Parts: sequence; C-alpha cells; structure tokens
Amino acid sequence: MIKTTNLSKVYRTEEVETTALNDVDLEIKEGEFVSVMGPSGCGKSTLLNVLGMIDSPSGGTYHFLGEEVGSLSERKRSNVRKHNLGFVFQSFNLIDELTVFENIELPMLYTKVPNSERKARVEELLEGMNIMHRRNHFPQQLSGGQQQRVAVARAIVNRPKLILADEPTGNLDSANGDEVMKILSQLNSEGTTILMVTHSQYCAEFGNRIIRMLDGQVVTENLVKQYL
Amino acid sequence: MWTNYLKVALRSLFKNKSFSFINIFGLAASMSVCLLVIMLIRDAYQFDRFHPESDRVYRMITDAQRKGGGEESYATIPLPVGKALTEDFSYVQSWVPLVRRLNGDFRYDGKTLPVRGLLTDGAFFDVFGFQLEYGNPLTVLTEPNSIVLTSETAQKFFPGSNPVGQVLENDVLGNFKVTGVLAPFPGKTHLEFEALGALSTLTGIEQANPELSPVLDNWNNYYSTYSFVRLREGVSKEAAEQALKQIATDAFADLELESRDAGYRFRLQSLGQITPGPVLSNNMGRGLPELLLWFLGVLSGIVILSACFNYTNLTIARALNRAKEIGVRKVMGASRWQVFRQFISESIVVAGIALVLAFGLLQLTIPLFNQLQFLEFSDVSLVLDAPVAGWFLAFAIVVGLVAGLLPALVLSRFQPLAIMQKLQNVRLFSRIGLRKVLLVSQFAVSLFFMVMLTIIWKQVNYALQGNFGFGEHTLVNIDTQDKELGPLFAEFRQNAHVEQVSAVSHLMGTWEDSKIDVRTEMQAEPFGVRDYFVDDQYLDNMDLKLVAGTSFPDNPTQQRELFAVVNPKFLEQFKLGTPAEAIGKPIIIGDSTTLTIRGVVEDFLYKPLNYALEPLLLRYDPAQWNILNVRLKTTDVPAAITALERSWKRIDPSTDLSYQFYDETVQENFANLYDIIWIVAYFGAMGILIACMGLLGMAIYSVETRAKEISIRKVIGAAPADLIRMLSKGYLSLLVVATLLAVPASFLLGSKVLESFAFHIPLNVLVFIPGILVLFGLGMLTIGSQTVRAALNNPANQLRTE
Repeated sequence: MIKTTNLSKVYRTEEVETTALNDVDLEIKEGEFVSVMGPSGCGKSTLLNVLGMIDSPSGGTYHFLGEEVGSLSERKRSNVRKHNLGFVFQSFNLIDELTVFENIELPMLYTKVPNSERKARVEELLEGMNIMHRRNHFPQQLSGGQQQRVAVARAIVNRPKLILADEPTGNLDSANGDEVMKILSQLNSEGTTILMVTHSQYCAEFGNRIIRMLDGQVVTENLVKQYL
Repeated sequence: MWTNYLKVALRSLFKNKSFSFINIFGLAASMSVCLLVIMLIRDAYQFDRFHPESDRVYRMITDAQRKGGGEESYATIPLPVGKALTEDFSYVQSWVPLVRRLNGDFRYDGKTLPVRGLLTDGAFFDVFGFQLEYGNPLTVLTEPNSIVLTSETAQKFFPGSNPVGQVLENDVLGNFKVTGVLAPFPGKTHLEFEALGALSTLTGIEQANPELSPVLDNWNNYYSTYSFVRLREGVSKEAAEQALKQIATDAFADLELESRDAGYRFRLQSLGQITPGPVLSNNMGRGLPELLLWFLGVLSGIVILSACFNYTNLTIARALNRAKEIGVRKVMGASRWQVFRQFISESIVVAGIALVLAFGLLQLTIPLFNQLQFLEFSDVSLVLDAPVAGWFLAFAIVVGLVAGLLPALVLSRFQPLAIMQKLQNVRLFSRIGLRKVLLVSQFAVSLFFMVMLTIIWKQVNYALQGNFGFGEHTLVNIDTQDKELGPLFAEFRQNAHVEQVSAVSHLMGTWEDSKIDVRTEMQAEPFGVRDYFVDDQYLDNMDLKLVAGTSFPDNPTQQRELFAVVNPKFLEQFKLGTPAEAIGKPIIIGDSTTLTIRGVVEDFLYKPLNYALEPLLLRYDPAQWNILNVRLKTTDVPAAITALERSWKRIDPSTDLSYQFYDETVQENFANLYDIIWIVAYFGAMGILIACMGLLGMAIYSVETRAKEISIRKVIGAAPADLIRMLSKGYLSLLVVATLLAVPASFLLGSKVLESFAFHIPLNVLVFIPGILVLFGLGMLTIGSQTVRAALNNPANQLRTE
C-alpha cells in the first residue's frame, strides 16, 4: 500500500536547516497495523504528515496504492486523502460548533455521500462506539474518551483504506486509552491498514510491527512478539 | 453542505457574542445609512419614466460661449433652432416646443387663482406619455386660446365637473377656452406646469405685449423656450447634433449676437438624463442634482467600507480561533474553494442579519429625513417598495462579499498541516500592518468628516449672522401678485402699523439674480453688472446711505428709464472717478439704453456672503417691481400682519396676502446647506461610531490574547496604571497618526470650501480642536473600557485557567 524510497523532509529557515526525515525507506502492506516510536523530534509526526499527504516531501519517492503521490498538487492530494485516508489526532480536533453527529458526518459532505446514506452510516458508528445518546451534544460536553471515540468514528466514516493516528491515546486516561486501542485493533482486524505514532510501548504492541526512529531515520523495524 | 455552513456560521456568531455584536451592529448602522441613500437615489431616478420610446427623446440645450472666455449651459434654446432641425433635416419625428408664457391669474366665476403653464402644440401628447381625461389629443391645442388643465387645476376651478367648453379669463393674456383635462400624471416628471396653452396663442400675446422679448422668430432668445424632439428610428444623436452644428454655423453667421456672447453650440440631452442631471441655467423642474447624489453615494460608500473594514479586521484577527476548524475540514478533504465559499457565505449571513437590523434602524431615520426641506424641495421621497427591497437584498449580498473577501482568501489559504502541529506555533499571517492601516484610515476619515462639518457649520452660522444692515427683522416683503401698484402703495402707506413702503424687482441678500451688460461708450467691451429695479423710497427704507447725488425722483408713470444709482465698486470698475465726479455721467446698458448716474450709494452687502462685493446698478422702472418692502413700526407683529392682510383684501378680496419677513427669507438662503450639514453630521456620527466599534473589537482581542502576559506582569509587580499605559500606547499612536493625516487633508479641502465664500471665517486651530477632542475622547474611552478591566482582573484567575 505504501512504499517510500529515500524519503526526506527538510525544514529551512533563514538561519537553520533541519532535516526531519532523512532517506526513509519504508513499506507498509495492506492490512498491516504499524506503530512508529521514537523520542520527541525524531521525525515521527513528520513521517505521518508526509504519508498522510498533508505535507509534501523534500526528496525521494512516495508511492501510495502504486501511484507516486509525493509530487502531487495540493488539490490532487486532497482528493486522494478524502477518499482513502482517515486521521485520528492526539487532541481529537473536533469542530466545536458542530454536534457529535455533524462532526462524524463532515467527511462524507466532502465525498458527496447522499444524505440518507450519511445518516445511516453515522448512526451505525454512533451505535458501534456506544455514543448514540450523545449524538446531539457538542464536543465540549463530552469526556476525553468520548471525544476520541467521535474522532475515530469520523476517521472511519468514509471507510478509508488507511488510518493515520497521531498519539491517539496521548490525552486519555488508561481506561479510555485502552478503549480506543481496542477499536483500532478491531478496525485492523476488519482489514483497515493502520499507521500509528505513539510514545507508549503498551499501545505500540497493539500493532503487528513497530518502527523505531531517531534523527529522521528508521533505525529498527521489529515485528511485535505475537507475530514473531 | 450549505446547511453545514449555515449552522457553523450561526453557532460561531452566537459563541462570540461581543465580536458578533460589533460586526453585526457596525454593518447594520452603516447599512441603514446606505439603505437611505439607495432609497434616495432610486427615487431620484424615477423622473420621466413613463414616456413612450423615451430612448429617442431629447431636450435641445444651448452652450452660450462668452466673449471673455468660458461658457454657460442653458436648458433652453431659440425656438427657430428646433424648427429648423425639424423642417430642414429628416432626423426628427416629432418636435415639441414649450414656452413659459402662460403664467398669471386666471378667473372663473369670481374665483381667481394663479396658474403656471406652458404654451405648446399637439406634438406634446405624441412625445410625452401624458394622457387626457377629457379632450382629443389631436385637437385640444390646435385653436389659439385653447387651454388644457391638469386634473388638480381643473379640480380647483371646476370641482367635480367636466370643464371642457368653459372659459378662463386672464387680464393680460386674454380669455382661454378649456379644451381638455389631463389625467393624473402616471409618474414623476421634470416638466412643471398646471396648464397647457395652444402655442398658436403666442402670436397674439407677443403683439399685445411688446415689452416681452419675442420668441417665435427670435434666433437670439435662447433663454425662454424649451424644445424636445423625438428622433426617427435609426437616427443617431450624433447625426442630429451635427445638423445642429450646421444650423449654428449657418443661421447665426450674419446675426448680431447678445453683446456678451461669442457664439452658441446646441446639443441634445437625453430625456432620461435631465433629472437627475447636470445643473443647467433655466432648468425646469425639481429633483436632486446628480452631483449631490454622487456626494451622498460616496459618503455612504465610505461609511459602509469602514464597517466592512471592521468585519475584515476582526475576522482576520480572530482567525486563530477558526484555524483548527479549517485544518480539520482540509484534512477531511475540503478544497480551498470550499473553505473560501464557507467563509464568504458566513459573511453574507452576517450581512443578512445586519440588513434586518439596518431595516429597523431605517424605520427610525426615515421620519427624520423626511423632515428635511431639500427632499420636499426636490420632489424626492423615501419610498419602500418591492424594487427597493430587491436593491436592499442585492446590496447586503455585495456587502457580505466585500467584507468577507479578504478573510475568506486568508483563511482558505491555511495549510492543513497546522492542525497536526501546535496551533500556537503556526505563523498565521502578519496582517498586523494591514489592520493598523485600516484602523488609522477609519479614524482619519472620521476626523476629516468632523473637521469639515465644523468648518461648514461655523461658516453657515457666520453667513447667517452677517447682517445686511437692512433691519431685516422689521421688514415684511409682500408679493405684488401683478396687482396695480398705485392702490397697493396707498393702502399700505395708510396702514397704522406701517412706517414706510418701497418696491423692488427682486430681493437683495438672496440667490435671486439679474445681470445686465454695462459700458461707458459704445465701442467699449461690456461688463455684466448685477441690477435691481427699485423705487424712490427704497434707499431710505433699506437704510442705505448715499455718498453723492440723490435717489430716484418719484415718477411712477415715466415712459422711459433715465437714471441710475450705483455703488463705489461700480465707479471703480468703469473708472468713473470719485462719487461726486460720477454724478451726471452717462452709462450705456444692454444694447443701447443710456442712463445718467444720479446717485452713488455706499458699498454694502447685497448678496449672500459667498459673493464678493461687486459693482451694483440700481434702476428705476415701475413695470419691473414685483415686491413691496413694508417696514413695520410696531412690535405687535401678529396685529400688524392682520392689518396688512386686511389692507390686501381691500385691494383684492379674491386672493390672499403673500408675504415673508426679510430675516426669514435670508435664513432660507442656507436652509438646504443646513440640511446637508445634518446629513454629513449623520454620516460622520456613523463613521465615528463604526470606527470606535472597530477599535473596541481590536482592544478586546488584544486584551484577550495578552491576558496571560498581563497576569504575569501583575504578579511580578506591575501597577494597574502601568498596564493600562502599556495596553493603550499602541492604539494612542494610531489615533495620533490618524490626526496627522486628517488635519492637513481637512485643512486643504476646508480652505477650498471657504474660498468659495467671499466673506468667511478664519481657518484656525479652533476649527480642528473639537474634532480632535471627540476623536481622542471616544478613542480613549473605547480602549480604556477594555484595558482598565484587564488591568484590574485578578491574575490568579487567568493563571489558573492557563
């Protein structure tokens, strides 16, 4: 599904040049659940951004579903993104002015899913995430765990092939964190590919492969114990 | 998707109440001003919309080129020019001559009423869209001494009956047989008349009144008749104007022109461009001048732009609050265009809400504006109908687009990456400079308004206080209404309340004007001098002092004009020596009339203060006296007026005394100017209000974003005064910059305005101080309301939140 060769990302200011990604070669197959770990500033999030096509690489190639996407225009990247990718953020990033229902529905507005189908899909997810009773609440009226469940529901409502999760449990207590990880595992077991950035070894082990990064480079790649 | 946009827009507005209030109220206040102007402009363009094929109808007008250079445009044209264009060329389908020679008192069955009418022919009903209630349009104006009445005039003379066949009597023009009655006009028209007479009557009128300047075959009389033509289909205006050019060349080649004129150019003015249109001499009808509409349009444009600035400013300033939403939307797949569309529709929603509020404000302001004299004077009224409502809606959409354009462009440019990083670290944009420029412009424009207002207001007050020295408050001017003067003089002079009575052609100290060419020898170049026809009592009654010679002899029956009384400026102009030397010297007026200087009156102001003191010529011709100046000797004014009314009724029981106190007449000179001051003041107040709201928004935002800094500074020992100073300093400097921009600009324009008054107030620092004080007072109050609150807040609250 994903194949990068010599992928690099360099940030330049007037005084400093920072290499965030340095010749990263990476391959992720469909159905994998890959966790990316490493110290702060090692380039994990940059990798996620580039692979999620919300940032463009400075060098190298990036093939997504067999197509080179590293050099696509913003418009084309946006198109690939809305049909294939789902995002889960550490800070949930729900829109405060929209209700739970409307937040989950939002991605389908951009992919022009008909109204009746939108309603059905949102309700199915609300049911599955056990937040149906919160459908008309605004994000600030929910607990952190509930907010993240809404965020996950929003990420998967368009049935993406790949979910990119950036520390999805970072703002949650352990019980809610567990809940979210179980949902992601469930999605993976149903065939969705997942790429997750995390600081937590515990969470990383929900996946089947762990990539460790340092100074913008992939230093190790290991299968999680149960897959050895 | 649109529902989603609308929901977010409304919820976001509700969530940020203070900013929404500033945006919506600011837009509403300024929109109410613009709605008013839209109504004014729309109504001003409602004149002459009911005439058939009006795109081919033109008024023929004259540009009279003066010998001394320059030219003056007249709405009138010599009658033979219209005739020549119609008969000698094949361009004209119909020609309508209009002659203002049907004015006077008409009598029927003991009832006498003044009527102002026009002489014309049957083509009138072909070219214009007026319909007849009674009579046949092809024949009503065929026979001499036929008259067609408007329905209002017919009602006055013949209430409730068909007057066709009845005869109206006029002592000067003869008897007129009513041949038709017009239906009520289908719309507004610039054509002013209460009756239409047959043009064929004019020959008789001219023969019976040799003192009137003839018009029928007079190529030189370009100031008494109007000509309208409907061109044939396919004929261009340019082709017809080319023909007029040829007529001007051929017909005037061998003619002796008016002594001040070097030549004439004739043009066509489209019927749709008459009202509103350019200001022309002899213009018929009312309506607002085009210039004033532009002026109001520009003023309201400035006010609405100022409110749009606020919206732009605040929306961009608060972009950080929306960044997360935009980032999420983009990550979810929203394109830049979709985000742009969202923010534009949001600003249109805001403008729509503002429109509703503006409509409410408009209901409060309409009655105030309807009281303004100039609206009544211009036959313009504020009408709210479906087309106006349509304009309002379109206007709100345009305002939404203008206000939301820049924020939509800026916000839709956000990169979704922002959402993946800490928002605080994202450099949104560096629009601080732009916001400062917008704020400074708002305040500079507001101050400019205030200073200009102060200048005009002071000048008008100065002009009104500028005493003409006639003792205006005890003088009553009475319209003679063409009555015989001998009995009037006798009646008023024996009235116990009256001290003295004099007569004059038109009033001094007003805009009424008359000029005649004067020279001292036939070969000399003539010079136009303002002239008034006065009687022998005038100088004494007006308290004017002679510096040499004597006033006119009392000789109301004289056949020929003999004498002149002039002022020292006149002697200076024509190099006639000292006042004593000038007495007995001859002057030539008009084409050849010679008058002898009999007296020299001291220089005095005889025109409003925007006129310089110029040469003056007083003449004696009883036929020209239209107004009696009655000096009252009593302080019991109501009793005196009752006595004057009784005196008038003894002369003519069928009409009423028509009078006005001289001081009221003089005040009316500037009535329209006062109205304009009120309008500018209203616009200025709106401008200041909106600028202050913009400042308030920025101050709230600044205090919000610096809340943590303020708390930390407090904790480490800053006093409230230090904090207030720190927070206010930036805004204060903006006000200073605005002042530095507005003062020179208003000084320059103010000097230009005052230059148009020969006598004017000095342009000193006192003119600027009130505006600057208001600007700084309101500005500091606005900033202070936020900074003081922030400085007095308990820092623990803020730091705990952080």
